[in-house]
Amino acid sequence: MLTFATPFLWMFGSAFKTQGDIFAHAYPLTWETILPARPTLDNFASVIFGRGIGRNFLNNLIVAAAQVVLTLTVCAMAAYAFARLRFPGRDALFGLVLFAALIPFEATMIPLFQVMGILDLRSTYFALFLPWIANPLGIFLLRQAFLEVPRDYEEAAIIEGASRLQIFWNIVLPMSRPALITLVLLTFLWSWNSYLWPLIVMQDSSKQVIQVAIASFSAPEQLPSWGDIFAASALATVPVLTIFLLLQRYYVRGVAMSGLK
Amino acid sequence: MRRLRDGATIALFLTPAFVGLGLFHFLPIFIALRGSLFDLNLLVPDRETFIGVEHYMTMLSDEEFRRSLLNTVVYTGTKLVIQLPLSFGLALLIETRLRGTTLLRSAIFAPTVTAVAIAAVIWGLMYQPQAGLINSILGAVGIEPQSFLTSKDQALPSIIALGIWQDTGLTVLILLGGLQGIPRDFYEAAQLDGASGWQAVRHLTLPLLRRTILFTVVLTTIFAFKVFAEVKIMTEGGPENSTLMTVYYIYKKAFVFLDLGYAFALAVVLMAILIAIALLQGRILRTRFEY
Repeated sequence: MLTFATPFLWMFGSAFKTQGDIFAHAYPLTWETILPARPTLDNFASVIFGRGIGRNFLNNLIVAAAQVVLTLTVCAMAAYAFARLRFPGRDALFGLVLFAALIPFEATMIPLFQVMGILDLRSTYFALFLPWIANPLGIFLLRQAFLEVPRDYEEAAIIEGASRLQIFWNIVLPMSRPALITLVLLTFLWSWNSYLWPLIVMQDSSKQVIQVAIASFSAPEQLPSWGDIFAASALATVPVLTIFLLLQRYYVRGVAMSGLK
Repeated sequence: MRRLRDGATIALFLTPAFVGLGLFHFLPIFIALRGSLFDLNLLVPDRETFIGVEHYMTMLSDEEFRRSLLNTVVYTGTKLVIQLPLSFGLALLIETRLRGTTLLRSAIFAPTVTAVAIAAVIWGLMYQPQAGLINSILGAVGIEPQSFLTSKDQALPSIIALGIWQDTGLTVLILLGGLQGIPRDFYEAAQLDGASGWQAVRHLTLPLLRRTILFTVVLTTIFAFKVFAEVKIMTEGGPENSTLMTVYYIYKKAFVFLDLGYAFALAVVLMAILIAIALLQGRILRTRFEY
C-alpha cells in the first residue's frame, strides 16, 4: 500500500516545501524528505502567477466540459437508435462502431493530425475534444444500458401518444442514469489526463492543457524548479482524485465493462 | 406515419456519431494507408511523390525500428510477468474484505486515474540520482545510489516499474470483477471437501477465472504497446535507444524528422499489430459475459 501511495505523499508534501527544503532533506531519508516541516504556499503562487498554470487548468476544464457534454449527447443518441429502433443495416452499422473501437489512437494520431489540418482546426479547442465525442466504447456502453430498460414502459408511452424523442428523453435516459454517470466519469478522466494528442495538435501554449505545460517546464533542458513541478502536478491531480473518490463505484463499473481507464 | 417519423429520428440520432466516426476514425485509416505509399515531408506539404511500398521495405532494414519493437515487446512481456501475479494476489487480498482493504483499494486505484504525463514527471524526479526519493529510500537500507534513467541497463526497468505502479489498479479491478462472479457455493463445497485455501485458489479460482485472466493479458498487452508519455518525458528514447518504443518512434519520425510518409507506414504496421491483438480481445469479450 505504501508503494502505491508514496509518490502521491511525496508530490503533495513537496508541493508545500521551499526549493531549499526539498534539496536539503532529500538525502538521507527522514520524515522531512516526504512531508514539509515548514509548509509554504510559495510554489502555488509561483506556478499560478509566474507560469500561468491557472490558464492551463482552465483550458482543461473547458475542454473536459465540452467533451463530456458532447460525448454524452452523441453517444446516447446513437446508442438509442441501436438499442431501440429497427432499421435496415443496423447490425452492419453497429459492426462499424465495434470496429472503430478496435482502432488504436496511437496508430491514427499522425493521419488525424492531417485531418485536423484539412478541417483547419489545429491549435483550436475544437481539435482537443471534437475527435473523441463519437466514442465507440461510449456508444457500446450506453447501448447495453438502454437494452436493459423494459420495453413495457416504451409501449405504454407509445399508446399514450409519446414521440420517440419524448420516450428517449423522459424514459430511457432517466432509467439509465448509472451508465450515463459512468460515461461522464470515464470521459472526464480521459479528457483531463490526455497528453499525447494535445502535445501534437496544440501549438498555442495559451490554449495548451496542464499536462503538456507541466511536462514542458520539467524537461531536462529546463532549470530544475522542483517546487513548481510538485505544486503544478498537485493542482492537476486534485480534480481527478476527488472525482474518482466520489464516484468510485461508477469507475469500477466502467472499467469492468469496457477495460477503459 | 410512425414509420416515417422513425426514419427521420434514426437519421437524426445516427448522423452525429457517424460523421464523427467517419472523419476521426475511418478517414485517418485511409490517409495513413494511402500516405504510407508516398514520400511526404511536413516541411514541404505540397510535394507528394508516389514510391509504392518503399517505406515498408526500408522498415525491414531499419535498425531503430527493430530496436523500438524489441523494446516494446520486452516492456510488455516484463510488465505482464510482474503485474499480473501481483494483481491477482492483491485482488484475492481485497476480496477477503479484511480491515484496511478499503484503504488498500483506494491506494491501488489512485494511480490508474492519475494522468500518465504527471506520473512520468513525478517518477522522473523520484529517479533523479542526487535528490530523488528512490535513492533516499535505497540509502536507508544501505544500497548505493543508482543512476536509473541515465543508465542504459536501468532505464527500461525504471519505466516498467512506473508502468506497473500505474496500471496494477486497472488489472486488479478487472480481476476483482471476475472473482466476484464466482458463486460462493463453489468455495463452500471445496471447504467441505477439505481443500486448503491454496488448493481452492489453484483448482477452483484460477480455472474459473481463465477468461478474465486472458482478457487482462490482452488488455495489458494493448496498453503496453501504446506506451509513450513515459518515454517522451523521462528518457526521449535514450540512453543509447534503450527505451526507444514504437509509438515514440512514430512520433519522432513525424514531428522531429518530419518524415510523414514513413510515419504513416509505421502507423499502419502498429495498427495491424494492435488490431490483431484487439480482435483476439473481441473474441474473448464475446464469451466473457457468459457465466
